[in-house]
Amino acid sequence: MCGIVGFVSLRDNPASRHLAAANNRIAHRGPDDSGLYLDPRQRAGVAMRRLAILDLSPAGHQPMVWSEPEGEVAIVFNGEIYNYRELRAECEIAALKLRGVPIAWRGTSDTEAVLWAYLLWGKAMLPLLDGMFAMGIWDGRSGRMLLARDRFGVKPLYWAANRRVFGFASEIKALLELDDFGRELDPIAIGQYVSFLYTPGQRTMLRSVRKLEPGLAVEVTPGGMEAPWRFTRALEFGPPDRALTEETAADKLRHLLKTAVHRQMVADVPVGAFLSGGLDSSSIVAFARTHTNGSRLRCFTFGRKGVPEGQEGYVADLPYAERVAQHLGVDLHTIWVGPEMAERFAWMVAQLDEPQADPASLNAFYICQAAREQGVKVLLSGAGGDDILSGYRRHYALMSEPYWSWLPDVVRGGLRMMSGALHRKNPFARRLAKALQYADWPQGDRLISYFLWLHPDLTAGLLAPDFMAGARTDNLLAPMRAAVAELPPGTHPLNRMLNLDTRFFLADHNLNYTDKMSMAAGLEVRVPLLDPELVNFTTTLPVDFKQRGRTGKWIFKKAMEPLLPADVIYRPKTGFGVPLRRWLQHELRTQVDDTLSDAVLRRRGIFDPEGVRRLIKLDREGAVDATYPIFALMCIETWCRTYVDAGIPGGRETVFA
Amino acid sequence: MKILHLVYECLPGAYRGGVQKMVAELALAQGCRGDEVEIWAIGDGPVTQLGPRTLLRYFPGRIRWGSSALRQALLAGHARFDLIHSHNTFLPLNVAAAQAARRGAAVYYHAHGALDPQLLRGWGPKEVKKRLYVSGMERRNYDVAQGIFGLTEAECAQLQLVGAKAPIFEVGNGIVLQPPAESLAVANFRLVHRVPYGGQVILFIGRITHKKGLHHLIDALPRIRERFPEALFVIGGDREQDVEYVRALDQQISALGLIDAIRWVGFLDEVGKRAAFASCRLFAHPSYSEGMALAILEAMAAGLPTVVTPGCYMSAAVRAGVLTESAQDAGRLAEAITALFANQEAAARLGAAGREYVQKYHTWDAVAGRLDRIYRKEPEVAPFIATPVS
Repeated sequence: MCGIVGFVSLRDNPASRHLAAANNRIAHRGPDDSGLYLDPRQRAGVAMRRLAILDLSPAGHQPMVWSEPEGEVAIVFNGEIYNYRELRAECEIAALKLRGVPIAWRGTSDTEAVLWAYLLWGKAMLPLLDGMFAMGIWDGRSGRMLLARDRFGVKPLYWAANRRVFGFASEIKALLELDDFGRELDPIAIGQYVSFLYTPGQRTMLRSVRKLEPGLAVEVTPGGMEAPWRFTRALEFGPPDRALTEETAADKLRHLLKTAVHRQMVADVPVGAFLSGGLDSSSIVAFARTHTNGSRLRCFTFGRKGVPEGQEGYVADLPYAERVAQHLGVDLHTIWVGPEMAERFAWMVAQLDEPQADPASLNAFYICQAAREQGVKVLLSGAGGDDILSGYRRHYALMSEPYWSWLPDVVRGGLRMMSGALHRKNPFARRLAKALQYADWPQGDRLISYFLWLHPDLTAGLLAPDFMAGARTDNLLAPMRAAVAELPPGTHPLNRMLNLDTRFFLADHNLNYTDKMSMAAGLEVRVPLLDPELVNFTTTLPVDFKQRGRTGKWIFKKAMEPLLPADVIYRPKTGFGVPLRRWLQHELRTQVDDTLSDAVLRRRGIFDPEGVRRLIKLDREGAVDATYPIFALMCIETWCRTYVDAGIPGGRETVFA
Repeated sequence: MKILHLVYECLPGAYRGGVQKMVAELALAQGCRGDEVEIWAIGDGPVTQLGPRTLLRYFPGRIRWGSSALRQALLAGHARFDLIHSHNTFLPLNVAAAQAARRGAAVYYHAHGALDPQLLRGWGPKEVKKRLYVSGMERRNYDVAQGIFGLTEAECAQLQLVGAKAPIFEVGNGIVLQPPAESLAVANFRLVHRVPYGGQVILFIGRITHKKGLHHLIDALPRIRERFPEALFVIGGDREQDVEYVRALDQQISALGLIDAIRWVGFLDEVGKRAAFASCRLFAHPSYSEGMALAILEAMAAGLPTVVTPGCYMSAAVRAGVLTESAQDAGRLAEAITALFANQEAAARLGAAGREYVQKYHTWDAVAGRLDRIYRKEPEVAPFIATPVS
């Protein structure tokens, strides 16, 4: 787990002079070591900051360079390869066969195994890797830089290019330090932030900076960037496996999760776990606790100060976490958070690189920070379970989708109009209104509508016409529409939605904040539920094994019955968040008004002050539920102050307003 | 020679079922040896040059009901060929070939395992229908033939019981020898399916149906793991062909606590098969009944020591000492497999002998050579004479 940065000089331009500075910009990602490599002919360079997890010796130093008569090959690698031992064995066999000599390993790191896999098989080796990663391999022999990002996008990778240089980095901060790529804002990305609270797909806030999407690889030469190709897909659904029974599927799932957890506990440093008391994290802890070489597994959770049960549908996690900890015999450390965390929102936005409007990110940071203070350097997380096994409310809501198509257009149009009359302060009315307001959309778009926090018409009304300058707001849905269109006809709507979940919500939201926040604390988070074998198995499950009536993750729950208390397994679902609705209307009300004042908005020029004022008013009256979009507007303004106004972001402590 | 193969269907690149593939590969081998070969098949498509001197022609019709166009062309044009080789047991194309034989054509029939005794035994409607068809219709076809080909001794014995006048010859299956798998493909197979390098890994490839007897191998696995706790069983094949059977296997695996010891790797294409052969230590085929399973020959050609059951009808190879035959029983299978895992030298010898045997007798070139001698009625190729059945 590290931070990486690098460049390729385009069209014989001189090498970037700022590689070391860019690398320093992500020092928080790798406090243990740093390194830099420049191609002898100055065509390219790579650098990295290292958080040492496997092979703590200097042999794990990066960039790792191998010299061949035709040139040098240098790798910078961020992440972990869980099958690196097996990969090393395969490399040894292949090296004897293809090169006729054994490999003289320098150390035992996974990066060295990846380097050798590349030396032996070139870019075709990418599908062999089981793990989370973002990497850059400069091949001086051919003058090509290979970039690749893992199947689910657990590790981030951004790129940017101008006439002189192509750059890539784990974080936007480092890219902006590397060269002048321009800081023009991307209106479509901003529209997406407001609508989804993150940008699905490759866009970022800056026109010049793009994400390399999960499962993609690309090669860059001094002539420029070639077309990216997909070397793996997050979810590939075939026909369901009709031979599976409930018992055999549950057995298999339990076995696969156990194997995944144990495989992902490989580390030369202490490993702990998140424990919210929900099904996903509890299941991981249930298997991890037996694999700790005799010591008690250290688990971490958070408690919310002064939030009454039932507020905003809030159900306290802590009692469940404590119950699971006691049941499984693990240590539980509780980190208490309250409204004072709002003071760190600006820091959070700067750290996230993208103005993700989700305060849950801070909870993750506090937990990682506490774990790190206790010497734990790796935490296992339950991220991904909801996305592959149907764990969100929208998955249940989706089960009514076939009935929508039975309704005539005129009825659906009427339902949409009715949605405006529902008062949004009541959680049920809020959800119903959300369901109805897209009643007249076509089926594919309705699927996407479940991810929207704000209707695109409302989003369009918020954006200043001058800022949009011809950008079409109907492009907001484009990446998701493309992803839906890629699926084979006949794919069940639930599987279509899980595909959208993993491609976008998981990668661009959950995993992004998990990576950035854990890295800010100098800690690695691993996600055993995204183990490839386990995920592949879930794609063969019949739909009703995932969502049965109101019960999501049904087969997962059955699988865990022998190991976890029933009241934990079947507890109501809660988020990982904070009572933001209440905070924005009470504790943070002044900050909302100041950060989104007419003067501030007019100066920024992104949003139409009148539109924003109207949205805030409607939200406070309960006519629309725009808590999170309003928070997104605040995050965008804050992000601009850090990334656009202040030059290069320095993670300085600022507060809203 | 000018040879005409008749087969119910032939879709190069998308063969459904083994017979189509075998006919095409045999025809290609004959073409390469210098014969002029045509394949006539029911279907729709242009005349296709499959290889040197090897043409594929389609005639409209339906597999089950035959093709009147093909029949007419056959009756009108059989004289262009030195012989007709028909591969259509239980189908009307065999009748058309017999009509041509009655007009003077030299016709040979290839049963391709369809008359395997196991398939004709019993009193189920399917078995009874097949027996009636064989005695009433297929025997009349065979009566006018120059020769009938059975894949194995067992099938030849069954053909003899039909009572046809034509001589019977044992002509086994052939395979196309494949180069060793690419190291990347092998690494990919092992890493994706989590098959450890050098471990005690048993491989099965084939249709996953009750006839294949996989439940015996799964029953054997705990006994094998008593001696080799890391032993794994890799199953290559489509789980959809016999869902009830696969479900029973899953339940058996769960009940025996073997989930971590079984790797379902799905249907394997040619590249996948080669990678699987290179990744596993031993091939096992515990079938109740086989014509002559190509997977067994392919595994042997890849140098894998191979364990079969009597239902695989590989008695000639067993007599030659190039594979191990075990009773179809968990204990015996476990013994045979454990012995090979325990004695790596013996296993390597068996694998090498199997490879040599297949190269000698079961390449399509070798099969085409044997057929050539039969077609030419060379005296050293004696027809099959069964041991009297008591």
